Amino acid sequence: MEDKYEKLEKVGEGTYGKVYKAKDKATGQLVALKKTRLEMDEEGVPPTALREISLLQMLSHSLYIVRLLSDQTKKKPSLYLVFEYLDTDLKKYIDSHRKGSFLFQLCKGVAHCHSHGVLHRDLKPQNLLVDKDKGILKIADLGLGRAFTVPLKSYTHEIVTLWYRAPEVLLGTTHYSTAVDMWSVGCIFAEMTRRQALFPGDSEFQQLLHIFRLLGTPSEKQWPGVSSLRDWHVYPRWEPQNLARAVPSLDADGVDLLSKMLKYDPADRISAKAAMDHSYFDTLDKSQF
Amino acid sequence: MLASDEDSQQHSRLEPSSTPRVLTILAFVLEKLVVRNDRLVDGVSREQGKSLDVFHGARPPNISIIKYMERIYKYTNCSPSCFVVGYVYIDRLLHKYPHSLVVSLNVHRLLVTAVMLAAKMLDDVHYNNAFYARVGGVSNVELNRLEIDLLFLLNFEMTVHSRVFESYCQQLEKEMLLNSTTLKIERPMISNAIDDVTEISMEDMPSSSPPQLVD
Repeated sequence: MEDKYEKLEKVGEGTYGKVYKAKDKATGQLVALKKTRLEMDEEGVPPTALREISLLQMLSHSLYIVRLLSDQTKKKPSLYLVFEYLDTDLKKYIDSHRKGSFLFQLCKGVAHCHSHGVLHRDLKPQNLLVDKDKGILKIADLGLGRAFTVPLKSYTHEIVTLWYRAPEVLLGTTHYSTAVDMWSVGCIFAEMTRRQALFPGDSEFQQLLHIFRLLGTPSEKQWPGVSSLRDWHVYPRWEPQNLARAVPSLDADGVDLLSKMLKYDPADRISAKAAMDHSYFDTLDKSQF
Repeated sequence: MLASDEDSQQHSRLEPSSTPRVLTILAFVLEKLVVRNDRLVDGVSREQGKSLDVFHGARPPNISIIKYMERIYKYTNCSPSCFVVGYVYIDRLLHKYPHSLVVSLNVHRLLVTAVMLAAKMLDDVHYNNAFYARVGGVSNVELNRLEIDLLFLLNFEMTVHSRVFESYCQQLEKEMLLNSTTLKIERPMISNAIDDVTEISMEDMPSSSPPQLVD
C-alpha cells in the first residue's frame, strides 16, 4: 500500500481508523485512504468496517455515494479502503446559491440508500463531501449504516451526532426506519439556509427541548404513540412557532418541504423519493443529475 | 419462517437443549454436498477447489457437521439467521468460483468463518474472533486470516437482502420436505450442557485437551 500511494496528510479520524489524503504515485490521482485497525487481533475485522465496505460495494454505483476504488491488505495486518478524494465537506463549505442543487443530490443519494434497504443513520454536514468545482455532493461514512436488520439503540452520543437525530430516536424508540434519515436531511436543509444548526442541543434532553420549542411539544393526536415511547416524560407544553421565521431566506415552497421533513410522526414524514418530486425543485434543472 | 427468533425461543423454553431446525437442515444439505464432492475429488485429482485452499485442513476434523454447528450455536449464542446468511456466503463463494468444492477438509473452516462474519453483520452483540476460534477449534491467527481471505474472495459482497434471505429459507425448507425420511435419522443427539467451552481441535487432537487460551 505504501508503495502505491504517497500519504500527503491526515485529514480525519473515522469511526474505526485514520483517514489520509494520498496520491496514487502512478496516476497522480488524489485518494482518501482509510486505514482500519486490525492490530486488535482478538477482534478481527471490526464490524463497522465490515458493514461500511459491504454497503459501499452495493451502493457505490450511485454518483452521490462516495466511490470505493479498491481495498487492499498489506500482508494482512491492516485493511485500507481507498476512496476518491473530495476536497471539502458541507460543514466547511456552504454555498447558499447551491442549496437547492445540494439538497436534491442529498435526497437522491438517500433515496438510493433506502431503495437498497440501507439506513445511513448518521447524516450530518461533515459526512457530506463536496466537489466545489463540479458542484457535486456525495454521501460518505456509512460506518453506522446497516442493512437487513434494525438494531436497538446501542451507540453512544459521541458517535451519532445529536443535532441531526430524529425525535423518535431521542425518545428511545426501538423500531425506527428510513424516516430517521429524512429528519437529518431536514436539519441539514435548514442549516444550509441559516448557516447555523437548527437544533444545537448539547444533551439528549436539551436536544428534545430545542425541537419542542420550535415545532411545539408533540401530542398524541399529532403523533400517535408518542407518550408511550420509553424515554417520554411530561414536558412543558410549547406551541409550535412559525417555521418560516427560523429560515428567513427560504421561499414558501422551501418552507413547505422543510416542514414535511420535520414531521413528528415518522409515518407522516416525507420520503427521499417523494421529496425529489416536491415543487421546491421545480426551478432546478434535474437532467444534470 | 425457518429461523424466526420467537420460534427458537419458544423451543428452548420447552426443551432447553433443542437445536433450531435450520441447523439440522443446513447440516443435512452440507453433508450431502460433502459426501458427493469427496467422492468426486477422490476419483479425479487433488487439484480441485484451488481458491478454497486456505480453508483446507490436513485431514478431516473428528466432528460431524451437525455437531460442529450445534457447538457454534450453543457457545456463541448467535441468532439462528446467522447460519442461513453464512450458508448464503458459502453459496456465493461456490458461484463465484465454480471449480471450487466444499469437501470434508474445508467445510468446518468455511462454516465457522462464514457464521462469524454473518454474526458481525447481523447481531448487535456478538463474540470476537478469539472466542469463535476457541469454539471452532482453530487458532486466533488462522481465523483472522480466514476471515480476511473469505472477505476478499467474496469481494466484500456481504449484504444479504431480506428477499434473498427468504428465498434461501424456502430453498432449505424444500430440501427438508424432499428428504424428510433421511432427516429423521439425522436427529441430533442432545449433548450435555457445559458452561465452559470444551476445546476441540480441527487437527485431530484429543478432545479432552486442556483449554488453550489464545494470547
